[in-house]
Amino acid sequence: MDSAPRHPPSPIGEPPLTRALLIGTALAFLGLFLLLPLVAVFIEAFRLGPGAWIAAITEPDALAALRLTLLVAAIAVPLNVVFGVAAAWAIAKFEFPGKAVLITLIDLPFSVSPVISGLVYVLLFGGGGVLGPWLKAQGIEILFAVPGIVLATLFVTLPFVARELIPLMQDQGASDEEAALSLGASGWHTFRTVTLPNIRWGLLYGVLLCNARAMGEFGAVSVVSGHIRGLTNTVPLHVEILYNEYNFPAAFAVASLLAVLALVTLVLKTALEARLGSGTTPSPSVREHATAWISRSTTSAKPSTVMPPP
Amino acid sequence: MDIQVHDIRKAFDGHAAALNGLSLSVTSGELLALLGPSGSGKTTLLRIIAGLETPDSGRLLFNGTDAAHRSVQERNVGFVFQHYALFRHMTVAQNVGFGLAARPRARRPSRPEIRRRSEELLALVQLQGLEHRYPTQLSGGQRQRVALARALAVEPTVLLLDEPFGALDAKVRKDLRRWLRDLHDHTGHTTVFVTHDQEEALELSDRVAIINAGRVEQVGRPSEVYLTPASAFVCGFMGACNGLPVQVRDGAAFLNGATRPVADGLRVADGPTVMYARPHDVALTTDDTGPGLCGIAEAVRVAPGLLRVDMAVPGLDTRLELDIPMSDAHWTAVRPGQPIQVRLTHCHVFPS
Repeated sequence: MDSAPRHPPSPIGEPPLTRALLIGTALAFLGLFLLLPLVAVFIEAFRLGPGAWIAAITEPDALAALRLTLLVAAIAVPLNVVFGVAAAWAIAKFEFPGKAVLITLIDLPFSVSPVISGLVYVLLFGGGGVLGPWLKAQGIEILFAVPGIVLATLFVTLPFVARELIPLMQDQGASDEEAALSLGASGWHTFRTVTLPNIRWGLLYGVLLCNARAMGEFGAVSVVSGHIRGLTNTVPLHVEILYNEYNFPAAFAVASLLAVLALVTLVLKTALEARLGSGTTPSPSVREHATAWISRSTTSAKPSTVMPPP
Repeated sequence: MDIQVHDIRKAFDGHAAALNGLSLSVTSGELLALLGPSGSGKTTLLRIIAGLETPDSGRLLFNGTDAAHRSVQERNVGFVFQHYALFRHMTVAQNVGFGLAARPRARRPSRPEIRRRSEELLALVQLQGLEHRYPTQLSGGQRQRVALARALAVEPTVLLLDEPFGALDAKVRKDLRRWLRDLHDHTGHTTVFVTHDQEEALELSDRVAIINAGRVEQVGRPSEVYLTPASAFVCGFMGACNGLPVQVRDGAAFLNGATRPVADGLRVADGPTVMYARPHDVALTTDDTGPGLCGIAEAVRVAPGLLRVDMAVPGLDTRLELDIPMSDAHWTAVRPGQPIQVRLTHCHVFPS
C-alpha cells in the first residue's frame, strides 16, 4: 500500500489518456507545420556552408533589395506612427460625425487582399490610370519605382498602429489629459509628458508589427514593383526571383534573413505583451493579423519545403 | 475668488439638456456642495467652471470678469477628478510637481524649488515619505490626497472636486471628509465639490446647492435646506419623506374620507395638495381630540436608538414610515398588528 496521500481525480479535469492525446496532437501539429518549416529554412540556407550564405546575401542585387526594404520600412513606419497616433487620438478623445466610417476605413487594408491593394495603385498611377498620364507628363514616376512600393506598403500597414492604440486610448479616457490641462500644461506639453508615456508600450507594439509587415510584404509590393533587379526588388521579391531561377541555396539564404526578422519580432512582441499585460491587452484583431502576417512573411518569401529538388 | 454662473445652458448631442438655464453664485472662501441625483448636470456645471466643457449659452464670471472665453490653463483652477487621474508613470512627487514643471520657462520655479513645494504639499496632505512611490502603490485614500496636493500645487483660485469620495470605502470616506473640512478651514480656498450623497453634502459644506434636471432647486446652509426645503424634490432628496395626499379646507388638511384633520392651521389655499413629513416628524400621541392619524403598526423594526414602524392608515395607499426615538416613553407599547395614534410635529406643503 502506498502511504502517499491519494488525490481524488479533479471533477472538471480530463482523464490522463485524453490529456496526453490532446497535448500530443497539438504539439505534433505545431512541430510539423511551424517548427519543421522554420528549421528547414535555416538548414537549406546553410546547406553549402556559411561562405555560400554570406555570398548569397552580399551579392549586389541582394544588398540592393535589403537597402530598398530598409528604406521602405524607414519611410512607412514613421508615417504610420504619425497617422496611427493622430487617428487614435481623434477617435478615442473626440466625438465627431463620420467616426464609425473612419474606424471601418482603417480596417479596410486588413480585409482587402494585398494584390487588390497593389492593383488599386496600378489603376491610379498606371499609364492608363487616373493620375498616371498627368504624373508622367510632370516627370514623376510612381509605378514600378520606389514611390509606388512605399505607397503600397503604407496602404497595407496602415491599420497596425491605429488599431493598436484606439482601444488603449479609449480605455484610458481623456481625464489624464484634462488633469494636465487644468494644471496649466500646454497641449504639446500634455501630449509629450502625459499621453505618449501612457501609450508608449502599445505604440511600440504597433510599430513592431508594422515594421514586420512592411519588411515582409509581398503581394501588394509585387504588383507595383515591376521586379527590376537591383532597383525595385525588395527582399521578399528577391527571394521569389532567386527561387524561380532554381537558385535554392541563395533563395533560402535570403529567406533566412526574413525568418530571423520574424523570430526577433516574436521575441520582442512577447516581451512587450508582458509589459502591456498588466494594463490593456492589444486588440485581438491586431494580434490575429500580426501572427498571421509574421508567419506569412516567412512563408511567402520561403519556397515550399515539401517540393523535391529538381 | 467668487464665481457667478448666469443662465447657463448646455446640451450634449442627442441627449436632453444637461444644464437648463442654471444660475448660481459661489462666495469667496466658501465650501459649496453641488448635490443632485446622477444625470442632474452637477458634474457638467463643475466642468464648465473649470473650462473642460463649453456652455451653449450663458455667462460665467470670475470675480466679476467674464471667464467664459478663458482657456482651461488660463483659469487656474484646481480640479480633482473622480478617479483621481494621477499620471501613472510619474512618482507621487512628480505628480504633485507637474503643474509647476509644466509652466513656461519664464514662470517656472527651479527644480529644487519644485521639490521643496511638492514636499511641503505632501506634508499638508499627510503623505510624507511617499514621494517616490507610484500611484499604483497607493491606497484609494492616499491617491485622493495626492490628487488634491497636485491640484493645490498650482495655487489655484478655486478648487473643484468631482465626487471626491465616490470611489472610497465608507470608513476612509468619513475620515477624509473631516480631513478635507479641516484642510479647507486651514487653506481658505474657494471650494466647490460635486456629490450625490446628501449626508456628505450636509456634513461637509458651508452651503448646499441642490441640482435637479439642469437647474438649481435650492441653495442654502445645510440646516436650511434640510429643515425648510423649497420643493417636494428637495424634501424627498434630502432624506426619507412621507407624502400624504390631502384635501385642504379652511387651513385644515384631511385624508381621503377622514373627518379628523391630519394637521390644521396651514396657510395654503383650499383644494387637493400633498403634505410631506419626515419619519422623525411623526410622533406617538394619546390625545385623540386634536389633529392626528390612527392606524395599525404593521412592521416594527429596531434600529440604533429608534424604532422603525410602517403604519397602515385608512384612506392612504402607502404605508406611513415613522421613526420613534427610544426616548419616547411609549415606544415599548408599539407592537406589530396593534392600533397606534400619531400626530405630525412638522410638515411641508409646497405650492403646486
